[in-house]
Amino acid sequence: MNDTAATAGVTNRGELSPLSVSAPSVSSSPAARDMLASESELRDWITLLKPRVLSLVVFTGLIGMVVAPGHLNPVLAFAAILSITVAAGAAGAINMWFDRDIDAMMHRTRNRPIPGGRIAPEAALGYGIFLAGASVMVMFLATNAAAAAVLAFSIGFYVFVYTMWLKRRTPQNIVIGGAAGAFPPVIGWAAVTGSIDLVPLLLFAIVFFWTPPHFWSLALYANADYRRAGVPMLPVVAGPRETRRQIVLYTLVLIPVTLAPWFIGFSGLVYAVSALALGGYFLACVWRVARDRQDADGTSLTNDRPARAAFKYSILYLFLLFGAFALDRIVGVVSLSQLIG
Amino acid sequence: MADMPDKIDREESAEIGRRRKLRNWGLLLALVAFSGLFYAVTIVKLMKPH
Repeated sequence: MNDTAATAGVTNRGELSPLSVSAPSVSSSPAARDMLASESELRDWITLLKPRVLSLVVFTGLIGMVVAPGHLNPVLAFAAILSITVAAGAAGAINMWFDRDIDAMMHRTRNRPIPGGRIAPEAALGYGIFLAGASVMVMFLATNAAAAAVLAFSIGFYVFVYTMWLKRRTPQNIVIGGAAGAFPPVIGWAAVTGSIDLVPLLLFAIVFFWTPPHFWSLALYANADYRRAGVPMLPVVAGPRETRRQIVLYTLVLIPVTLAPWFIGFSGLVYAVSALALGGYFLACVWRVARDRQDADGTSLTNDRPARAAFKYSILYLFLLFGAFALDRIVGVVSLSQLIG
Repeated sequence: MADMPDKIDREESAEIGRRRKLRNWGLLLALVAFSGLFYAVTIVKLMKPH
């Protein structure tokens, strides 16, 4: 025992007392190492918001605002986008609080802040509830009641319908629950117009039908994780072969849905051609998933390489599709104004 | 969370202090940004013609 070592203490301001430290050469107790391991970092609080998912949420919400008829002050538009982002993050934090038991069982999620022991579950829940409430309030103050109501509904849908009800009960969890991720363009539209029209509902439908092929591609190669955690994802319940079939079927439904804005005359040729080309390539990707070399049980013999590629492309696909949708509107507005001018 | 340790070395103490400091700065920044956002939204709303 080193003489310089002293009893550890924490002041009433939460600071470590200077007397509590020992010389660096002296190894600390396991409790000290536990204390260090359980001390959250700023990035843990950011991780709770699932930042990797947020980019798509922000982008689709932004496109909903860009294509909506009308004008929103840039400051209010920024507040609206921030609200959508924070609300999605808050829902993610509450999801991590609820799913902490299964997160601890899955390789992909076991180092998340709650199963990793760096953030207490009740702290994560409080954080999520506070951010959810604040985001709805800011949305209401900055825009209107319709946008705030849809935002609140989308948080509730993700937390209660997807996370608490469907996720552990049915392989249709991400089909129905996927609707939660389809709300941002509707919220963006409502923030500008104060109402919900056919066009935002079509954007909703696009994200809705895109979610199953996107998520099941991931589920195909994360199958073992979901099985271990007892989450009834489609590959766990119905097997990989049926999952591949469903991925193709949903993609076949998705492509005509993406063309609907053009059918109703809201979008022009720029969008229609882009939607067809992007959809065609997506179909080719999922077709490769269906034709993947597999054993008698349907397990991939290529380490699910086509499914990994399809998952990656599905993210790019949605970005490009919504980008083309906005571009088409901007090009359309420019040509119309040039014609009038 | 972890039990209160009997011994803690200087490096661990410094690391815990760094993490707490960073968290506190993050919280301060978030609060300032939130106040700024509220201020900006209020100003824009006040400027809006009725």
